Amino acid sequence: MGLTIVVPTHLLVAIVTGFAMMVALIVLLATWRGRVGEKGSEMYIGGESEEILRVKIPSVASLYWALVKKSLRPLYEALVEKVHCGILNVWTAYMSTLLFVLMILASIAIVYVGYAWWWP
Amino acid sequence: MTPVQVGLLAFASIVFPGLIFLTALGLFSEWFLRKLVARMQNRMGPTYVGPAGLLQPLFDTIKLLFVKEEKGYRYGRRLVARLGLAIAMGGIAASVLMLPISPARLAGPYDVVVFAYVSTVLPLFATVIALLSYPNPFTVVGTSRLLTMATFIEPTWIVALLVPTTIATLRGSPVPYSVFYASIVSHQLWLEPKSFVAMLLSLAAATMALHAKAMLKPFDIPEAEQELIAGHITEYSGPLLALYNLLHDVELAFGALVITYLFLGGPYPYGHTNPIGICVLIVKYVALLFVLTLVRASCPRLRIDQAVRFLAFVALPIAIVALALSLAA
Repeated sequence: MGLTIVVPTHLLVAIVTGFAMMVALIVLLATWRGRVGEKGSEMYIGGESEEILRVKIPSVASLYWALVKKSLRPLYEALVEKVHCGILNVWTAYMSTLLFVLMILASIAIVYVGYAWWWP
Repeated sequence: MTPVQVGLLAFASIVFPGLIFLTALGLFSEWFLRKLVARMQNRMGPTYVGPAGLLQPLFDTIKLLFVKEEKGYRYGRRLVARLGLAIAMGGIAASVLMLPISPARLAGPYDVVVFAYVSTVLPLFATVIALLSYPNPFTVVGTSRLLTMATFIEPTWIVALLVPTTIATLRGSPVPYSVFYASIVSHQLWLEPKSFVAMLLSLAAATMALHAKAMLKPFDIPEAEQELIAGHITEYSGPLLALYNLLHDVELAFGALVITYLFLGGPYPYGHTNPIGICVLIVKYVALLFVLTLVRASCPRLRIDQAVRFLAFVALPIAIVALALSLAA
């Protein structure tokens, strides 16, 4: 039961985003009123004065990367132990092989796409 | 589209099952979680407002919206914060149009991507902008924790959603990778051994992702009050805090609704117009909330690195294995 409207994907993006914005506007208008207090305009830093902010605070991005790196340390360690042996020639051979494989894949893709383009 | 169709879609996105319905469902879900956790921990939980305290979340919201005043924070950007939270709410309310519960549904080829964008990516970025518009050292730490977890939660959630849509597409869905068409056949996806395993694993991954998205214990790390006061919402007060709390409840209700439809078959074996079907839908929804509550009541808070490790090395791989199995199914 109910009405099901099947539309192309690009139109779907436009419609859904449009309705999302409409609802957002309704929410914004419905919750806009409310008194703004005169007191408590200062920052809450656990009772400290704002002078403490002269001490540098890490940014959101720095904290993010610190947390990700700390959490994924076992993965990095496993990779380092498996891959890194300290010999430059081994690294060169590995990278050359990888680039060679990627070049072959790219060549196949170019030939395939070119073939499909010229002789559809 | 005709004006009647546009009107029906507008009704669906604002009233049922959009903004108003989702808000009511979110408030009910909050009450259910609080009451059940309290009973599991030998406490009373919400008691005084409404039968068994059912109306307590609603009254808390009304109080914050209309009685409490907002802190005139000197560094805050009031419009940006409200706009961010409103856009997040709008994205979730509009996404319900792609679920079978809506009387007017939208579908299209590969709409699972649109669904993920509007219901997951848009609310996340809008919320982060809203949080950072009230800066504070605790907010900075809380938001960084939120973003760190989201890096692994959102891929897990999206990959888990891809599983039923992929299996439905491989089985000849009329519209490929459609959330709506996958939802109406989701009960059939459990019938074959290979797709059964894929569905089971993706259900587990989606439930874990929802638990972490809703920041229920053990994933309530961004607002760990013993360390960060209120974390990412330290400077929020009055109507702004009400709006954030509502968004949190709506996200939980929406996520549980998505799992109920995409993985548990919605009202199957009955239809939406059958009263028994509606009861079945409610039972499945409440059963999912019960599982979330059970985990919340029994687990202590994880450290951020433990949580990320769990999401990156347990939840996400489970979702990826499920997706690989779904392609083989």
